[in-house]
Amino acid sequence: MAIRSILFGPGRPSAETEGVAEPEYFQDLNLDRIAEAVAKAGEDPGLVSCLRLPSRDVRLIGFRQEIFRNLEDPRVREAAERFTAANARIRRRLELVGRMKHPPQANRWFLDLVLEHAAVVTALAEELEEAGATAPGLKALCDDMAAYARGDSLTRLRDQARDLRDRLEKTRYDLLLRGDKVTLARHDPEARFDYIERVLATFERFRTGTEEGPSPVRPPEPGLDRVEAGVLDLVVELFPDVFRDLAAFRAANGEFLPADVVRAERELRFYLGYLAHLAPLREAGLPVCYPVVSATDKTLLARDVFDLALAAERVRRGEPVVVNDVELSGAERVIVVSGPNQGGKTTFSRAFGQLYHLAALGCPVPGSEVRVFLPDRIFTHYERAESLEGLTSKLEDELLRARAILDRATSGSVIILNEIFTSTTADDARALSESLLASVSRLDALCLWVSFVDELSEAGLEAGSVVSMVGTVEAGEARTYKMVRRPPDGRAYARTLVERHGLTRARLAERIL
Amino acid sequence: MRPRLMFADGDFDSRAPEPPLAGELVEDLHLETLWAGMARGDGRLFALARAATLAPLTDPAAIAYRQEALGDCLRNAPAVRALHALADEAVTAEEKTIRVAGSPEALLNRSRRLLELFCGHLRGLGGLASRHARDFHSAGFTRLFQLIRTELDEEYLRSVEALLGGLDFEHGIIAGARLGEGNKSVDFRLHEPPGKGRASSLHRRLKKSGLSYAIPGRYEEDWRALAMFRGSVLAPVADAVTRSADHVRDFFRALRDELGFYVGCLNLAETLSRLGLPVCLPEPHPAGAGVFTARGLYEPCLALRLDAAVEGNDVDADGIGLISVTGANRGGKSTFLRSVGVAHLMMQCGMFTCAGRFAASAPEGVFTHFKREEDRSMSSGKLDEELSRMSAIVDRLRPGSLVLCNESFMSTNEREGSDVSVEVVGALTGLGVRVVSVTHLYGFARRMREERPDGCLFLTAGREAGGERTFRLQPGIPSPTAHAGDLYARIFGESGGSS
Repeated sequence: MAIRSILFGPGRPSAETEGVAEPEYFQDLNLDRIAEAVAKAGEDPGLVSCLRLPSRDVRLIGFRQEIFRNLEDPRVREAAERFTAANARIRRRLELVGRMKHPPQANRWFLDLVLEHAAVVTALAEELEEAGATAPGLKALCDDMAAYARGDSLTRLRDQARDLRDRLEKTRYDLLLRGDKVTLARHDPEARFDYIERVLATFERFRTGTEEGPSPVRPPEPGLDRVEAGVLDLVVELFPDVFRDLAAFRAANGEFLPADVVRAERELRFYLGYLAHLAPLREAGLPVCYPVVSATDKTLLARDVFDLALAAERVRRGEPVVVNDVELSGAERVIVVSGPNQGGKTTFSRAFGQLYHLAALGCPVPGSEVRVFLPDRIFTHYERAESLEGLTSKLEDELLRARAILDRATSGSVIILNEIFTSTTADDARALSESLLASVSRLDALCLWVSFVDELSEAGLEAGSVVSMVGTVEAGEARTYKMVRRPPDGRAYARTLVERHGLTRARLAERIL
Repeated sequence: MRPRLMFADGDFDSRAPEPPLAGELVEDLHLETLWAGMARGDGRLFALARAATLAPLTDPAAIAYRQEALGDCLRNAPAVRALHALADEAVTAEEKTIRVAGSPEALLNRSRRLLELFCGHLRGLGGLASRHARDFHSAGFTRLFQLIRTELDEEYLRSVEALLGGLDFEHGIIAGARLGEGNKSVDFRLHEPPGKGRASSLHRRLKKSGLSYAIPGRYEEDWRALAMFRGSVLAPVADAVTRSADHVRDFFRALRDELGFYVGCLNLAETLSRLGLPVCLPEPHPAGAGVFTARGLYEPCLALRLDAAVEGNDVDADGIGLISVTGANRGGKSTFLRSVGVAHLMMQCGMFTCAGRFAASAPEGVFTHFKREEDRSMSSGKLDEELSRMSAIVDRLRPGSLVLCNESFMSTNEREGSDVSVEVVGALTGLGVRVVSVTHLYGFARRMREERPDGCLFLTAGREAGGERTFRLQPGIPSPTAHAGDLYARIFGESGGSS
């Protein structure tokens, strides 16, 4: 039996998905926060490693995108969620059972876990089949699980376990509790055990029919205290045969949980965690789409994109999220972003960078329509916290970092520069920026540059490789940030506001029904 | 067993979430003053008045049901106050009995003691009912007294007390059980507790069984484990008894709350009567019928604050979509606006209204759009803020709603403000929303008058000859002065600049 990987596809060796180092650009682009949030949503801290492995393999990205799409179907997703939750529970409980000291109890936990495992793998195969798992990756998982669930070894194990459980569940007994003593006897089927019903009937007339039923009974804690163990020992005396068989069953089947099944759980958590992280954003009306990816075509089309890390926070606080369009076609390679402070430029640059990484993971990305290139590397240069050595060394540090990027970048790289050369004079900054831009242009790499040097885009604009975008702050109490290629036209202010709030005659007629 | 004094077919939920925008309504209409007048310092009565006012009824029959009950209360105030005090005493007794968390046995004992206490209160209820039932005639109170007579008779109360006696398990606990998860004993099913008399056959069998476990008794943790085990056997019965006690308490709580609303009405009626102000049971009409007629409509919160009688206004606005109020500053325009809002809300919770006569359609929600004091600047953000508040109101509006505007859209210049008002208010009235608007935007008032002369009523804060302002509003055509000059003259004792 072998269960194929849904992260790396058929016939591929599973890459190591543990302890992958964090890429250098992760923190600059807030990808570390996204990875942590996904791992949290997927309830597996190890998932951050899976989110650090971008690919340039268009087929692998397609393979994952198909799985994601398939998991968007609530029935498929819920089947997968039930499986991951149930399997985690089994793992946790097996550990507990290993530490239990009282065999009549530990053996019973073990028995129940065997049955639960059989039910869980069978349910996954059946539910994926029923829900219509069509992605090749999920179909393979479904087939492999079904084959395992129907296989001889699991069938035999399950039959034995069921038989034992049926026998245990038939054990009924009566007890008398008085003073420091518990007395047991076999169950008396003639006696009436309806005292609670009598109590409830007496006060029936005060019930309103709206209240809930009996308070939920807390699930028993694993492990018996001394009195419970004493009572169980009396039950063992009443029914000795079944307890002997139970002990033999555990001794024969100690290690029943296959490693493949555990791996499948983690791989599913990658997909589920990512989708769960997106869910509140989608509920808030933010668009998410499956990008068209290419390892050769460097054009970019991105409609309604946003910073996934920031959006998650703003949605949680109930605040609006601004989306932006950005496009690079033909020979265009460099976007120079300028505009007022607090205009959302840095956020925009992160949204841009995140697109390239998330698309290369095979994940759905922020935006309503996205076509994106798969870079060989992503480089970022964001302002670091002020170092102690003072301004000159800060400039020096920036130049060194820029140099390091240019040395390693190729024409297949993506470079994101945010507010570089702020520590020198305006003239110096312009001169440095212009020569850096020339180098980037020569490289033919994709670049987004947030710059306060307004004239920066002029030279490149003529050559056709540079695009200029301006951050604007729209009027209104709630400041909204939008990146545009040219400034918007003004309109009569009050009228615009009335329209914005949906208070025109026509809109009011639609709103009040 | 539900009191049903607020609804013929449902319970009054004093903890229901308040409607959106309730905060503005409360502030703009000074409703806390109204509730304080009903509560007379009792925080719970305040909360009940608040809950009832903020959950307005629109069905005239539902309003009439409360009006009938209120009529009973006004005629039998001492009996109503006594019933309320008894229910309050029962609920307070429960609150004073501390609810111990954790041990089912402690919970069982508490609930048993509590039910014993409640038996006394239930007997008291029966006594009050038999003394006063014949003086009450409303459907609500008639039904309640009938229920008390048939469901809480002496025979029933004795059977309750007998049951409570057996719940001390003095002679041990007998239960059936089975093995559950982890082979723990679960599903304890209680048998009738063994009593003093002849033992049942099961009891005898258990006593002879010989298969026993006795705790060694040397260590405290053994006794703790035994108590835990007793606890899990007794948990279901503790739960059943506790839920039963909760149900009885809930009955008293509902009784106290629903009576509490009427006690609040009684308090307010007494105060207004002392001030020599009239009240009347209003005539509710269905939403959208366009009815609004009032005689001597006054603002009770102002009367309560001044502790004095106040002036009222007459309104004849049947079939009118927009009432526009213009005129003198400090001419009582805002007070009038509040009196309209408060009267509608009082009518809709089943109360009397503060007028000689009041007939109106029950609106689908009352909303206020008042100028905000801090918004006096003409800066661009303020109009945006005003529009944003209006948009939030529009989200909740339906035909038949009532919107009270106090100097709306004045944070921009007169022309823009008038344009916006015509657009918004004109559209709202066209959609069947009734608007009462206090405004200095004469352009707006003039254009509304031109657009729909039949659908608008114009009131002005009048001025008698000699410049002595009156607080009564008169039908009148808006005039482009807010009489600020008068005010200036009065305060500074000299002639003011142009107004």
